[in-house]
Amino acid sequence: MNPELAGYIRRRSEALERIRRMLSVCLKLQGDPRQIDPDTALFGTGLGIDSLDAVEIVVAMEIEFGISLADPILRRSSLRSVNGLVDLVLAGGDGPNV
Amino acid sequence: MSSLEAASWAIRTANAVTRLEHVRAVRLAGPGAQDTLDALTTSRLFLREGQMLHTLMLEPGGSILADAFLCLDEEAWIFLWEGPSLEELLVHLEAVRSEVKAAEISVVDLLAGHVLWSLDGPYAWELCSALLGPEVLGAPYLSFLQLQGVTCFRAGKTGEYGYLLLVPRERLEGTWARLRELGEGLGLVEASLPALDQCALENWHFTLRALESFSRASTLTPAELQLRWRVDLAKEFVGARALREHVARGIAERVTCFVSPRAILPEQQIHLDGVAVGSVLQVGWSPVRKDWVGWGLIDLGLAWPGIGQFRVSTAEGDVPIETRSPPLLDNRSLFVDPRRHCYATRADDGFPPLVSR
Repeated sequence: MNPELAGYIRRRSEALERIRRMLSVCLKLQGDPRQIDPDTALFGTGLGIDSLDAVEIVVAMEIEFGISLADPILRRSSLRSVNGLVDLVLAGGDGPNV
Repeated sequence: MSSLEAASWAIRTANAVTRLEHVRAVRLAGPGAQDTLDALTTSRLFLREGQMLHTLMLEPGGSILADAFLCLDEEAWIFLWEGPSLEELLVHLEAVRSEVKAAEISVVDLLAGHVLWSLDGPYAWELCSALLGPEVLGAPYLSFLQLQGVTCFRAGKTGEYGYLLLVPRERLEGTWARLRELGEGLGLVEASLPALDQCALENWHFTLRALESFSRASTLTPAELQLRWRVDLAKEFVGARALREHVARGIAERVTCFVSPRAILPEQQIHLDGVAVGSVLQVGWSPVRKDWVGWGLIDLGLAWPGIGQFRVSTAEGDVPIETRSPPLLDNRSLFVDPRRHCYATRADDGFPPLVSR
């Protein structure tokens, strides 16, 4: 594997672990955070968060990563899945890194 | 525009109705119903009256047997599922009931007297409330209610507003005619199951049909399929022991979403730097995105979104694919608010594009 790809996977994996721990605390999830699959949806099916949970996550993203989700379109796009939040972290808050 | 393309656009921008002949529905009651369903399904049965649970049934080895909704309706349960036939389910149900020594249950085949339709689209709430009444608008996701003799389940697998309607057969013709009449002004199109499945693929909604073309489907558990949110490994159910052992050993592959500029097929190998690292599980043309959307089963260490170096080997040569974080659309339903928007004003409502990446 080339070093650039290996570095990307390492950064992505580290960001995912931090997001999982953050979600586990915010949502008071039972069990091992590593069992949260990365493409799990946040709303509806998946983790089944509600609008109050979403506010908690927005605040936690700001505290944990310094990322503001003030833009409503970016907020709706990023708060769709665990990996959506990871994309946001890797992009430094500017949107998906793909 | 093909019918599949027209249906995809209707699901993404207006309204679509689909006759769900692949979904089965029973009503279970009796003192043994809860214990039997608890042993049959993978999720924790924590439901209030009028709520639905999106769950699974597993084979004893841990692979997926059925994709199901479980609904608590007064003293009974409504069970909607895709997978085994009614006869197969009844045999399985009785075996599980006997195994867990649950009391008697009664089972009524709801489709003997009803049909099931799906309404999907960013304005499905508008059509459904015009058909059944304004109560539809207050129904939260994964809830259900009885309106005008129709059971309306607020659920769907397209990423848009979705409703499943269980319609009594004696009211079928009149309800269908009324639906089509109301739908004329709301962009209603009749959609096929392949159109629903394509939308599910784009939005990362699991369907059993995503596994149909994959020869190793029977080796895939909820862990590889990223469906662990539907599984409570702390409870006992059919397949729990095998799944617990499988997860404890550690999975080797994970299903990951990708996009492709050219046609590829299920089962074709995914490579990275000339080394086989996975296989295409399912893929389909997205009329809305204008590219191919698929799910690949990729070695765990590489099963990450945002990687553009993968290649799929085809008879016409290698095709580049790029893994992505699903959903792959900015669904219109994310931005349509029934309190402020309606189908008639859609052109002036300034929604963001469906595809931003």
